[in-house]
Amino acid sequence: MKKLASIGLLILVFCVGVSFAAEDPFSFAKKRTEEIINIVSNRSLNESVKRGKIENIIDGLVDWDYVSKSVLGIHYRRISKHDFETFKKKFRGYISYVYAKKFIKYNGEKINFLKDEKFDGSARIYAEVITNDSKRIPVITVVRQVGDKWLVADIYIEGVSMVANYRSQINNVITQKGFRALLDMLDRRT
Amino acid sequence: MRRLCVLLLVAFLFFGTIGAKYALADDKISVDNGTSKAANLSTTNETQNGINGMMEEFIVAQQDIPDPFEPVNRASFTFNDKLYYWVLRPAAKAYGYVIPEAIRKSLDNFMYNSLFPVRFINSILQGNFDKAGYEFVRFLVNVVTGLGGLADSAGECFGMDRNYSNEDFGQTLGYYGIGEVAYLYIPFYGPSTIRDVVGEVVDTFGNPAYYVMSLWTFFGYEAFYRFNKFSLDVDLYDEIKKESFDPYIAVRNYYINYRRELIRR
Repeated sequence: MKKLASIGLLILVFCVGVSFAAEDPFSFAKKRTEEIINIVSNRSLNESVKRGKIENIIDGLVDWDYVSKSVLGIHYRRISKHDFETFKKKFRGYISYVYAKKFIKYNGEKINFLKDEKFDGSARIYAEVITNDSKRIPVITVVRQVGDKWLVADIYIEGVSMVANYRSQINNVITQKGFRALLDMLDRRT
Repeated sequence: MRRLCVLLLVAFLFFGTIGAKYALADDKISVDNGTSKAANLSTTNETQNGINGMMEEFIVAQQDIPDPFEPVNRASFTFNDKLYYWVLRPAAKAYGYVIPEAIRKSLDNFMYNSLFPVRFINSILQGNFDKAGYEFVRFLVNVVTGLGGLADSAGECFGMDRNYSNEDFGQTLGYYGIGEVAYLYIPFYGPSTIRDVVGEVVDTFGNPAYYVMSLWTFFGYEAFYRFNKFSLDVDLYDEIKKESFDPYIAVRNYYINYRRELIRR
């Protein structure tokens, strides 16, 4: 648990996902990361402006359709298309909001991009974040090709999958309280 | 006498672990059914993208968290939640206000460095002499150039990773194939498993402080070590709670999957 302290900062590597298919996701990752760091480090911007800019970047990084289906798991087939679209919209806003808040906490940690593994239409990008107290935290970003873009499908920080983590929580909420309660929770959190 | 008591406790926990492992073997509890089914769903719908194979490979490792004591654990989680907001958080904030962060970090470095035998022995027990050597060098560098361990000069000056050789007996048991047996959420302590509780008790014997203090002083020392560390990131739990739909499950996932990752490394 102690290493979770750095999670907010590690998510910075989240940005590696956006790249044009013609461009290698690994090499593009550094540019995207620098872009985020530049926003966070820009002293002329206040926090809400920074957060807004980062939220916009995150919004364009993630394969929301795929991630929303994944986190809903078995419940995806049990809800209507309209409910799914409602969930996707709210979840998208929620995740962008939560992770933009985390990015703001970036404090000069070093990020090393180590390697990538390419598959048919998808890739894993391996990176490590070196915290200010000398801990190396492994981060794996899973991206998939959608049209002419690479989009984030999941991120693993120290072996913990964001998608799997949300899936088990959401499964529990829907099973015990129902789908509407989940939507209400999303409303309250953004 | 006190050492005999600790030994008996270790034996009790160890044999309890073995017994519980067999008891659960035929009735493996999967609290995360949604995970595996979702993977299947993805496989049938979206095989064209080849991502599902690799997603499943990861996701399989995130399934099957044994939590047979969930009702008790949840009660314990609620207790610790109240303890956090009513006692620990205000106390840690006050402590952080009085004691500068630099001093708290130095104390943490010193106490962490003094636990070198635990990490060194467990690296050897796992047959990983590379990690054992790394830990040995890290310890020496911190003692010689880091004011006896008050500064983490191995990390700050020489870029030596603090996580690389951070081994304990719970990981050693995991390395030899012993599973978590059951997830535990312990009052005043937090997330653990039966395997990791056994590991914590065994690791006590590798802690030099155990041999130079009375048992109660040692418990106080350990409590202070954890409280001091907690004061360095006092809002972490609050953030996890605010960002979770079910904080109990979020903490359980983080803990179990993080420990599995440490063992895998």
